[in-house]
Amino acid sequence: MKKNLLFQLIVFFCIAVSASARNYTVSGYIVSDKSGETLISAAAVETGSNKGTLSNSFGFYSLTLDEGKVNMRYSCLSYASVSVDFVLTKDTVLNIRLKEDNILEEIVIVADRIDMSAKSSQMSAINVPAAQIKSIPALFGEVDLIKALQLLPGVQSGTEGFTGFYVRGGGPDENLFLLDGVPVYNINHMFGFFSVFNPDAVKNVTLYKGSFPARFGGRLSSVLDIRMNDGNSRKLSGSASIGLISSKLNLEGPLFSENTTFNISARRTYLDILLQPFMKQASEGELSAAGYYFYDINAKLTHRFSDNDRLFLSFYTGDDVIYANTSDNNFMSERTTKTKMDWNWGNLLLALRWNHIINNKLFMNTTMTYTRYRFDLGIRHSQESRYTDDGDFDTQLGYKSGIEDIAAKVDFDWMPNPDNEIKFGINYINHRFRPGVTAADMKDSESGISIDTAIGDKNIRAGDISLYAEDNISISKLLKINAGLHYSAFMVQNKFYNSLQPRLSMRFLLSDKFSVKTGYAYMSQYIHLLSNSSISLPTDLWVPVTKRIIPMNSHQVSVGAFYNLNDFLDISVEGYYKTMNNLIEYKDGATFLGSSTGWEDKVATGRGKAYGIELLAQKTVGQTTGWIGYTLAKTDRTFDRKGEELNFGKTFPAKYDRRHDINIVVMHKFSERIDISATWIYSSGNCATLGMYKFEDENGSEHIYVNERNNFRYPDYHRLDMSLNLHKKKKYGQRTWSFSVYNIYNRTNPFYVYPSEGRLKQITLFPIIPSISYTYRF
Amino acid sequence: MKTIYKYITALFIAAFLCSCENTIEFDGEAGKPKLVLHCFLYSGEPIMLTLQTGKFFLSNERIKPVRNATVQVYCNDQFIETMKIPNDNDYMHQYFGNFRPRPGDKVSLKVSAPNFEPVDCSTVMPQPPVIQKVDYTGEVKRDFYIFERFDEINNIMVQDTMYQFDENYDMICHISDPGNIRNYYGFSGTHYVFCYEDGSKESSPININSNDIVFGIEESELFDSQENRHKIFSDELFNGKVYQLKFDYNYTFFNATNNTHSYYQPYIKSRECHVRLYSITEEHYLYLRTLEASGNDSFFTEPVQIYSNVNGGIGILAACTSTDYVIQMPVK
Repeated sequence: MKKNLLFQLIVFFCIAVSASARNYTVSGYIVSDKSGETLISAAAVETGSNKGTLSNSFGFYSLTLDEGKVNMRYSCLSYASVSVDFVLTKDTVLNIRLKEDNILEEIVIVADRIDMSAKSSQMSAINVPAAQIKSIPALFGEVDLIKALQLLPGVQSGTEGFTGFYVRGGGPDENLFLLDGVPVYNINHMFGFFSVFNPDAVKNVTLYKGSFPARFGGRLSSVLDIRMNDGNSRKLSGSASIGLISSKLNLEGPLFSENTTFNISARRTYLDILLQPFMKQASEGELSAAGYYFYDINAKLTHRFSDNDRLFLSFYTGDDVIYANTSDNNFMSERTTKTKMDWNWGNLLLALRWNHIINNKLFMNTTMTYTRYRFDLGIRHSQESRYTDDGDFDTQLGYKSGIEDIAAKVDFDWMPNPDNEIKFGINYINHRFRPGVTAADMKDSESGISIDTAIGDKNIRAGDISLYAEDNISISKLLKINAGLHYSAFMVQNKFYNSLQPRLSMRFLLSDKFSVKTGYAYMSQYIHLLSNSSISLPTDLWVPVTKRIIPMNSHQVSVGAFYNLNDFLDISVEGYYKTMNNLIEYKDGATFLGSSTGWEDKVATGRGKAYGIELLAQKTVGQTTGWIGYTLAKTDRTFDRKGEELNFGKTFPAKYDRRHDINIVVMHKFSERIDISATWIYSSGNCATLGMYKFEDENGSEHIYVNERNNFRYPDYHRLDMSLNLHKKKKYGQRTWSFSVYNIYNRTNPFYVYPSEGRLKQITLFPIIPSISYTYRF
Repeated sequence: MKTIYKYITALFIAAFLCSCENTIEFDGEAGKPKLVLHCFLYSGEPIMLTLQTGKFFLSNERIKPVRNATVQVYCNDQFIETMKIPNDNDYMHQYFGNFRPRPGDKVSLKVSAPNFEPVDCSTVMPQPPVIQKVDYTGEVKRDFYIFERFDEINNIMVQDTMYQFDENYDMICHISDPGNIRNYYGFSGTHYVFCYEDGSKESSPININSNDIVFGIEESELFDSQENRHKIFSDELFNGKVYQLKFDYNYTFFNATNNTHSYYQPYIKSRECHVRLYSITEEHYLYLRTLEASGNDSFFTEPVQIYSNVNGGIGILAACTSTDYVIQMPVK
């Protein structure tokens, strides 16, 4: 019976695919006329038959049509549409250049209307152009990609000011961040105040919250696919920006010819440089240098060998650095004591990608990647005497941890006919986990002690392989299906885990402007982030699953309705229900700070569920654009396994369970010279655990009695931010003054609440904060 | 230039200082005071408990003893007695009873007091643990000193001998664990019993050292360490088997004699090492573990929920039984 069914399916598939036998294919790249950048999710539609497709992540499209007269219409947001009439008599390569639409230039789009429109089978995904991210008011004027995404329904920030990312009730380690297809393990700078993604280097961002296509895997809650700019192939261009805490520089252009382009972006904070003289003064000369800074460098080199072959080399490096050097000269004993401390942590990413068009229906993308996150701490304390070595010592302590991946993958896009868009591929990752090693090197001349040792866990290696296949099938005008399978296997320490993950999403197009969609996704995750707090610490450690801690998995079902109101307003309503298994949480009182030793004993495994409704109404045309997002959500956890009970086995709200989230974003362009934007954010208070009673134990010691985990809600959170941009054309480009005010009505939002002397005290981190920045684009 | 620096610094300092602290109202129902009950049942010993108030965390009132409560004791669901505070009790919140629980007894308490929600709790006395044997190896360094002292009875100077014992022992306690059920143990009761020449006895506790895996003690590295102060553990790793619990101790004691009466203390005739193992209830285990963990919590950890099996209140009704394995030790 099963064999028979399988045979019928294969026959159906072959018929569906071979139905294109007498047709011809139109294919090519869709690029920006101004910069030569490939355009992602640009639409290619044959107006007569109303058949269409979207360009993939590399701007490539392929559409198979009946022979004869065709009218191709190419369009992309913020670009003027182009129509091409011709008679299709053979397979045709048509590379299209779209001009930026000056009339609509001010339009800032929240979500790609075509991709997210009623017609697409994809749901629970949002495509965000970089321009939109840059328009949103930001803390200290520092535009941040992650904070911009926090304004979308279904995405919750954690603590105020931080780049916490909690999607549909999931934890912070359940999100896959891909920068040009390379996983980024630590997305935070400055303990989470800023993310590592420099908006100047970013072309496009797509966030998947559910109904994950089969090509993605490895995390339970979301996939954030960030694509870097390839570089302007027409001319040298760029921008320089000076802000309150950092400066940025972006350069891009052709290298030798139009076929080779580069794009490089860099930024660095400079608070440490500005404060240096004061720190020296405050320490009365003892402190020779101290400070904190972070930097990012994004670079991309693209070379086009021919219309069929392109090579990309992407690079990112970014570090946070804390340093302190002290020196104390004792004139009496003529001894000098020196202390030198360096903390460095950050990512290094490298990707080499080859795009090859095998034929006009088959696109191949081969990628080799390297990604590394590392945390290094070094402290050196030494004492030297001028005349004798009595009492001299030299002590060095070091701590290193991190994760390193080397990966290779091949992805294929096969578009046999307009009714089938097939993607398949294979991916292998070799993980190397460095769970934390402490090294000590001590020499003491007085006691004669000399120690050179290293303590800590050995590196753990793991193999992670995944295969996938998905087909975006148009069954009829009414029904479109995206069905796929994702298989993954994980090998670590002689343990083998694998899972077969079905993915399905269906669209029922009830009219040209109204559709109902539903989707299901099963996800599995083999790695965990050991983190102790709601803020990101550099000591947070990635660890693989073990014999005791088995992989997490989730099932998510989503249902939604999508309506386009007169090409003026896109309205969507989505509901979801997600269950998560084998989640880990720290046991009561367990602490983790940089050592993975015995971490399995410190965590409990349990399950969780999350459900909610997300509303998004977005206006994408006109001088005034923006959106209103609302999320009604609930998520809880149950840890009732024997010996691993949390909250005594009773269900409790998850740490970032919040009932209501409202985000209103409005942008208005008065003229070419002036535009403003404003965001208003409201959310229910975060959960916290408070001891509700005080009592004395049998020995008379006072204790706090906690009746339930996360039993207290912080006050509601809300704030209004505004920004004003003043542009002016200059001789060689355009300058922009940006003024922004964070928390304009100075709401004292809770960062931390604690009881003191019979009252509840609330710490507020960010009052009203004005900022200014200057940008020059050329 | 310095002026610019000053302005910038002032701007940042102002921003972070403005990240101020303010008082907020508690948006919830203020909790009424709760009864806090602590009762530790020892097999064969009379029952005793303490009752206090547990105050709402924002209340400024002091924690007070509760002396006007009615405390009823039940054994195997049969009413036994009402506990009382003796008139001469210095600790006015201690209630005493005559009931002596035995292994296997289900002991329940029902407590009511004016202005408090009534509370109840129950537990089952565990069976005594089984120590098959205790192996020990080690060395005793013995030394003696002869000295003179004044004998006040006979008004003469006498010679006396002082023996010093420096003991280092490695011990293995063979615990036979009953299968099928989860058992919990406490191992903090190892001690010496000194039997003096005059017939008196004295008990002296010994501090043992053990990094046995059952205690879940973590080696301290750069950042963290974990204790098990109460030396409690479960049979999770050896359910239904005989487990060899390893520990060691260092002990020094002195014994002075001239074959008459010691000036300092009576001559020690014999000496016993009692290796004591407790069988404790799951509630007792959870209470002690969470109580200990609550002392170690920090900004980075989830607050610890101290276990309580007192319905409607706070505290613990715990029970334990013990077994001593006696080893005769040298005195000379």
